[in-house]
Amino acid sequence: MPPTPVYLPESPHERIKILVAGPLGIGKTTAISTVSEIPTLHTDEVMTTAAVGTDEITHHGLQDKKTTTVATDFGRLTLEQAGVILYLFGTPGQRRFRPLWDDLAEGALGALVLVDTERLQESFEVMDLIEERGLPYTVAVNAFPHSRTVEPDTLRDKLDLADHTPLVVCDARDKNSTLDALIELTAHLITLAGDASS
Amino acid sequence: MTRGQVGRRMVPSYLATGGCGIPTRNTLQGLTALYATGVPPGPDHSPGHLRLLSLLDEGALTVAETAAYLDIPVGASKVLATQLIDDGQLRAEPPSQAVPGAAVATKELLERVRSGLLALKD
Repeated sequence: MPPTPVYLPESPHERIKILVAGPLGIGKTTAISTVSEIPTLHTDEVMTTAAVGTDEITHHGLQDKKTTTVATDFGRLTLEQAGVILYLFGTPGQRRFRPLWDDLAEGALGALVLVDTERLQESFEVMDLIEERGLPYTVAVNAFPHSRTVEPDTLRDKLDLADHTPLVVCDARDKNSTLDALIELTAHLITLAGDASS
Repeated sequence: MTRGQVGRRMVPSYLATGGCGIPTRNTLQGLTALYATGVPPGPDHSPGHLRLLSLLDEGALTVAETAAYLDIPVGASKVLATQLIDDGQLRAEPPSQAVPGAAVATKELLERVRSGLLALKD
């Protein structure tokens, strides 16, 4: 059962969106629930046709099935003095979820891309999707206990990051650490906004 | 993504909207806030409409949040909401004056977000 609704404050506010993107099991939901003031919500979105040729449903005698369900998680933070409610949307990294991506990316200010040093290549697809939309992003290395420590310069090289794209280490289970990653992303957005207006 | 589906929803999404798949207007976003106006529903409104109205009885929520609480896709919630806006039961408020749909934020808004995030740190 969905939790009891937490309604929007009555005071005037703006609502903005930041994506938390990355492959399956990278800690997107953990990061969102660590900082969200409401229990993490989720919706099941029905997708059609895009999965054709990718999902293996045709091998199981289900040729007529042309839809698939993708769950997305989201949470929200009230930035009281700022008069802003920030929504964090967990965004699946796979290209076959692209139609969903178009909806989720609408109006998003930027993205926090979670990566695991043990499976960097799994984050390439999501970084491509973000770059195709021209969405600014910051890479956050989720510090899993099993993960090796990799030098930032080596990581930048392996991820082929642009010089101006920030790279931070975070622990998605830790509130301050996750907030720091979001602050880093916001600082990056401020720099870009400054460049655009000058 | 990581949470398993607990069970199938009771009403398929195409039935929740009365078979309508296209919103009557295209201005609603996931973060558009929906407010009940107090106008009572009419005899033509479906159980889906009534569930959405009843959810918004005690306060406002974004389209994305209504979908999550009603356990329907965001697209289905948009269809229901647009019909209720047309009929007068709901009022919509866009997410932000500064960013009406465009992924461009003013530097001033971003500065406020940064200090707001800093204030949340323990």
